[in-house]
Amino acid sequence: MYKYFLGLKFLLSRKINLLGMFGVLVAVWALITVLSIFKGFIREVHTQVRGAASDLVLIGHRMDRSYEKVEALLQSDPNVRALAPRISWFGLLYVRGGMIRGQYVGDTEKGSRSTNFFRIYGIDFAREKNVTGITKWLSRVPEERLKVADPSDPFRVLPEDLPKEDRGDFGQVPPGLLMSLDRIGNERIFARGRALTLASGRRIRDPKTGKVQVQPIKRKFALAGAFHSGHYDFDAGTLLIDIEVMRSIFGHDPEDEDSLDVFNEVAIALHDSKSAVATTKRLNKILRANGISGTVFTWQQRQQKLLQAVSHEQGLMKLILFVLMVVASVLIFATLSMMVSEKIRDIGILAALGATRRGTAMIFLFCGMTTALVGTVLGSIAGYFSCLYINPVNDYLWTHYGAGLFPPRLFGLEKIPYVLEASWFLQVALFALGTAFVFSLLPALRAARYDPVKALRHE
Amino acid sequence: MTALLKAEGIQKSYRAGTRELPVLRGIDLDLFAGEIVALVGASGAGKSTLLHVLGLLDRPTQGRVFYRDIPVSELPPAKQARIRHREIGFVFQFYHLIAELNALQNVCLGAMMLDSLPQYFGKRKKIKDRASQLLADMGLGDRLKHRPSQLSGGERQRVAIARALISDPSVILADEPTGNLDSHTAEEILDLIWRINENDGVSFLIVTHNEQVAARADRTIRLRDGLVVPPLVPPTPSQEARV
Repeated sequence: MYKYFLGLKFLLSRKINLLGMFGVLVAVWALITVLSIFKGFIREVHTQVRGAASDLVLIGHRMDRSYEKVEALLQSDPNVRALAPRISWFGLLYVRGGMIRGQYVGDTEKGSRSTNFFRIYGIDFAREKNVTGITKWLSRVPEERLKVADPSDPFRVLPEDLPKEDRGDFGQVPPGLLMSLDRIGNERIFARGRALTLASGRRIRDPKTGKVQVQPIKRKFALAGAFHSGHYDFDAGTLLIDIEVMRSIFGHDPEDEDSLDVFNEVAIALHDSKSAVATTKRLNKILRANGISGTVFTWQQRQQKLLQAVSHEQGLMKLILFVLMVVASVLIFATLSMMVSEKIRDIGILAALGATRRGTAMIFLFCGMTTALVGTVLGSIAGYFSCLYINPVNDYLWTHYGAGLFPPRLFGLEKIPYVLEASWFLQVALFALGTAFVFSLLPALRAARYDPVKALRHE
Repeated sequence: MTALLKAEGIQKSYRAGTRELPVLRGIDLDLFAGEIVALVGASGAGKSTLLHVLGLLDRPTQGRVFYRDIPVSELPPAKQARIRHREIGFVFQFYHLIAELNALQNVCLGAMMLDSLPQYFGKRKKIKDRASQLLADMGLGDRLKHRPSQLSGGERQRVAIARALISDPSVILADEPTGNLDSHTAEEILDLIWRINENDGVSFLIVTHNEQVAARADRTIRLRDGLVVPPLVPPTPSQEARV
């Protein structure tokens, strides 16, 4: 009993012990708040990336086969639910002679960097809607002037939507193009029907010389509407057009029955997305066995760099904050060591009254652990409420002072995300208490080892 | 008659660098139930060291300490702590009260040492009542909530004696209990010690420089250079005749 009684008395009589408690409080609060937000951010990134991707995707196909043949092979896997062919290409976009900068992040020798190019996907909407959330992407557009005219045929451009100045010489309606809401931003120049010019190139082999040349392509489109998948990187750098238009750009005549239904990507939806990796392996085996170019990847494998980068950032943040926790425990160590030095004579008195060495150690261990426990509880409560009220506080600061704690829109988020997990609270608490235990044990053992006779003579 | 506390050939030396400094060189001592023994000697004679060895706060280099014929100096530290708590009380020259506790809490502390949390709460009221009674008996009934810093030297020493008494020890080892007090207060403390001895039968071994205390004690043991000085025996008539 005396251990707790004296421990509490010693603890309450020294205000310096608040320092250790405050240190633990701050460390626990920071660990819970920062990492809950980080977890929320990761969850948002996953949701965004997932929302813009199919379960699996076949990429790198050389456009040397007709889609139907490959479709039949892929469909033979029992886990494949739906498939959609795509042609993925790159191009620059112009409106009224001015270039709209795409933000496609390409891989260069110096690493990933943002370019002025857009990734252009030629898609088969009727099939695409079965493998991705494209229908949702279209319905998320709030502005009427940017909503697609016909949700069942999103690339359709109504002649009456064409502005007078953009109507062609012969009144022909150009093919439709979908552009992301993020890329359009607040620019009033964009509305359904706005004429756009896509500039790109295609590689052709000179039949005479056999050399591969790049042939420039320039095509007129009209804005058919906007989409919003929620994955900022995808949205900011992607344009969607009809796959048949894309095929025609590459010289394939859709009217010609002998012409191949070319594609270079296939988006794949699964019945059971949990067994995506196993399905990927099976599909790649089928492709190799049939001499079909391209490789199937899961959506996580495709976004590996991004997901790994975010995960590494989280790991680094955890490390920094755990170091902060160790620093807080060092504060407990310092204050306890000071207390032991001040209490040497009391250690002797307690021995004379019948205290054991273990009991003496327990007094100081109790002080350290109580400090850590109070700090952990208060830090956890502070962390919980910080997460709960971070958005109202952020909004308040933004409204009244023009500055926020965290700019969610920078990351394409509506509000600051967070995930409050009981397991994380438990992990942080256990780490805080564990670290405090180690750092409290050292001065406690020092107190226990003190010779009671020397302690009684201590001045 | 069996001694309550018995020292047998106690030697104690301390190491100073490579040298061995002997403090006690072979002490034999008996303390019987109900007696007050004064332990006197010059500074450095080894009085306090002997008191610590007898109180099981220090281990002898050689020799044994018996409590009711049990060789307690050879017991493991935890068992020694238990005997220290139940059977031996300490009173120090500088009172040695815990500064953070008031008088009542300081006395109660003496009764908390062996109890677990639930055990203590089971008998908390009993302990508090007993501690209050002890302090009241010592004239400190109105000083229960005072911290040591708010008490006079004599009051502090009385709190220390009450703390030593709360676990009903059979022996109290007092290290110069009046050494830090004025003569009037010292006299009051000595009266208190003799009263406790008389009323409760508690034995006292009092380390002192004060010859008056020694004269008042049942027996006096003198230490010189770590040895007990043999008591002076008056010469026999035949010895006187030879002279």
